[in-house]
Amino acid sequence: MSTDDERRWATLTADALEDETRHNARGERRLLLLGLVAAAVTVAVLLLHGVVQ
Amino acid sequence: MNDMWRAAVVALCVVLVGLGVVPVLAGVYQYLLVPVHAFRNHLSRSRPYLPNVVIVVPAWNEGAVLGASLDRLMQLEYPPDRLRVYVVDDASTDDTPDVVLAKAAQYPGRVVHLRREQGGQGKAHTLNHGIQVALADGWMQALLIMDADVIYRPDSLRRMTRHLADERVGAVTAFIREGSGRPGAVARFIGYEYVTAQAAARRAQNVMGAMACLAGGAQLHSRANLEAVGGRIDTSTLAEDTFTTFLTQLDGRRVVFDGSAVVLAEEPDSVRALWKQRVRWARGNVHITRRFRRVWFRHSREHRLGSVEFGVIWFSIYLLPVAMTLAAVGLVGLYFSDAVAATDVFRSLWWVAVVAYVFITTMTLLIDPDSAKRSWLEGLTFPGLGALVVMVAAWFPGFWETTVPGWFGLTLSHTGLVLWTLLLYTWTVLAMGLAWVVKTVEGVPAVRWLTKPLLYVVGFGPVLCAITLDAYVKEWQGASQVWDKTVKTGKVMG
Repeated sequence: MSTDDERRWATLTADALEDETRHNARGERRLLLLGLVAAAVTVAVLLLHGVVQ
Repeated sequence: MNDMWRAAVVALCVVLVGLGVVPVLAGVYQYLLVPVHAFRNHLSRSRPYLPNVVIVVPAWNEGAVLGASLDRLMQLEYPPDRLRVYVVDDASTDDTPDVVLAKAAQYPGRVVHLRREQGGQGKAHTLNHGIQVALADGWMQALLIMDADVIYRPDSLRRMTRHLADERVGAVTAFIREGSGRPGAVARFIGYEYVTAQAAARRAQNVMGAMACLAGGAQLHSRANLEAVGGRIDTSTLAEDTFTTFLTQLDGRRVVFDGSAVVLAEEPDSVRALWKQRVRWARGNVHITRRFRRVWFRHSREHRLGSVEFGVIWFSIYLLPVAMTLAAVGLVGLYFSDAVAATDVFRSLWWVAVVAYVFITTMTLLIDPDSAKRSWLEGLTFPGLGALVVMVAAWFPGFWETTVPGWFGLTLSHTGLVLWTLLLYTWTVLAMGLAWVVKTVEGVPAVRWLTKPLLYVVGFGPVLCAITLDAYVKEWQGASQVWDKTVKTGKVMG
């Protein structure tokens, strides 16, 4: 998110607010990636445990 | 004991330990729903909507924090002519009236001072005074309830109001982030806890379609919703915000969490202050569980509060101290009836705990990088260093009993081994007991320095479990419902 975006959203025009919502929706989609990363870390720990054992 | 009795005891103990696994699995299930929020959220149904909003700020002796909060509200990126702030001064004895009147003069018509001459009845009564005034005026289209110390980010309110464009939504809540300028250990633990309990759990609840609680410091209601729930906040429980959340949903309207609407709050920075605050919250949850007993696990077309998944998650938290105790009882029972089975069951239980710990901690630290920067250590030690020792014992059998003593040329005696094993098996209960010690130590000046290291050993999770247990005891004893205000000093930065 850039400062320019924030300034535009703060104008509160319908276009700007819709753009802000689209930006937030993209932010939510990041959760899918985070879930995959967390799952990968968990699997890596399990594998490491298997190797050490 | 004959074989049949022994088998029965072993089976019973395994069941008890199994009950201890349920809250862990419920926690993992909740976290598995978080990524689903990527494509199942309410943003697609929201649209630009900037209604006339009245903000009600309950204030009893909040002179130290109100000035900054009101200035920030006046700086909200929201049409100034659509925003009014009613500060309900609950017969304060400090400089609260002076602070509010000065702000009312600075922002004429936008900040209003409402004085209650009879104070001390609690937050719900104070809020109702403001709500009554707001509802008497047809101007108000939405009402935001906040706490006096909460600092709203400039974009937060409009990110909440957009959801009210969908008439099926009755209320919206924001992400309250711990925002103290120089947080101590307790505040940093709370900072991490708020990511798990809000940024993660409330997204999962969005996906489930059932919200447990609107945050007391950031709850926005449509006028229609306020009128439908009776135009007032319930005054008979210690969990007025949860009560309103349930009423809203039982009446068929949705409650939505928006994680991108962020507000900052100062949270308790001592174990004793935390204890006081959370006993009140936990007792409130007892009231809610009892009051809405006909809602749990009952299907309804109107709402999802009765769904199995929501019920299991609610009761997993509600009964967590009981589950932890039963698991310890089960393990000790197994140890004395079938020591080999006890070892297997112990390892299985904590194997699940390790996997849950790694997944949940990683996810939590990734969800909110700002909180992670401040609270990464508290995230890693949330279950307590003691619990991490138990996890190592379960994953690497013999590490503590043989390997570590071997480094020093020592061997653990049989008695030592028995005591160590029982310590591991009962740690979940011992940690709750030690949480009481942490609280007690904090109150003794000569040994107060022990509080912080002990807190990290015990862990924040077990402290919360102990507080919940204390709340149950107080409810059982019929202790009076006193509204103990959490003292705020104006440390929030943001």
